[in-house]
Amino acid sequence: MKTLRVPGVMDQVRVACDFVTNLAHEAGMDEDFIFQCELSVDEICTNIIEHGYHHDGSQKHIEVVVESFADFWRITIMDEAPRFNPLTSADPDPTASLEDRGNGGWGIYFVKQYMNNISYRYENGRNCLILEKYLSA
Amino acid sequence: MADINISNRNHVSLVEVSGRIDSYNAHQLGDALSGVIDGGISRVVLDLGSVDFISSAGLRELVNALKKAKKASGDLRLSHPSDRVREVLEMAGLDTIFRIYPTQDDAVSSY
Repeated sequence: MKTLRVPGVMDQVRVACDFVTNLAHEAGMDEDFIFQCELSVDEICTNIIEHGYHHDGSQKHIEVVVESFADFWRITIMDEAPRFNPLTSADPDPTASLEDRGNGGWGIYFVKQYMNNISYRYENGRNCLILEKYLSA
Repeated sequence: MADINISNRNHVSLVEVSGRIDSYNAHQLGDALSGVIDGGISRVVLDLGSVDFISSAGLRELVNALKKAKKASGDLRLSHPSDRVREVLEMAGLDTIFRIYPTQDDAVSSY
């Protein structure tokens, strides 16, 4: 199990992404796996900073925990923002016309496409989003 | 930090961007595209050939710029997206919203 804890500010999103992609490279994961994990971590961390911390998270943190199992990886991302389960939000519509497109919801939508399992829990005053990705999918 | 280069070709504004477009720098691309359109050239080509990563924050800027260009009777057309970028565009259904061309020349001459 590997853990990274960074301040909840935008320039740390890349640090969180690099943390996960470096571990994936070291473990010999393929480029699809690495890209999909990277985009997912980027989107979740960005959502935390924008919507959870409202761009004022320098005194708060994002914690990323990577666990490697025989046939899947688990990436848990935790924050100290007010309790919020992003999985309860409606998905945006990829078939919507340009005029009907809003700006929100695409990040978590992408994560849902790339990860095999996603779950949420609130624990010890922190939001925990748990992403699981099979090694063969 | 993404690198952005803007030039004019046959009354079309060509915006070339390279690197990673994410929540940290997407606004730079949005500002560049807005600046071009506000400057009076609403026929725009965005070359994505050297972009290896784009997040939803980047897509948001593309969509907003497309809306702005169309409002000015123009368009924002994309050229040469990498497989990764195309995959993300398709996942968001944007491959049916944007006109996407295989090369920069194709995109510029499409106007």
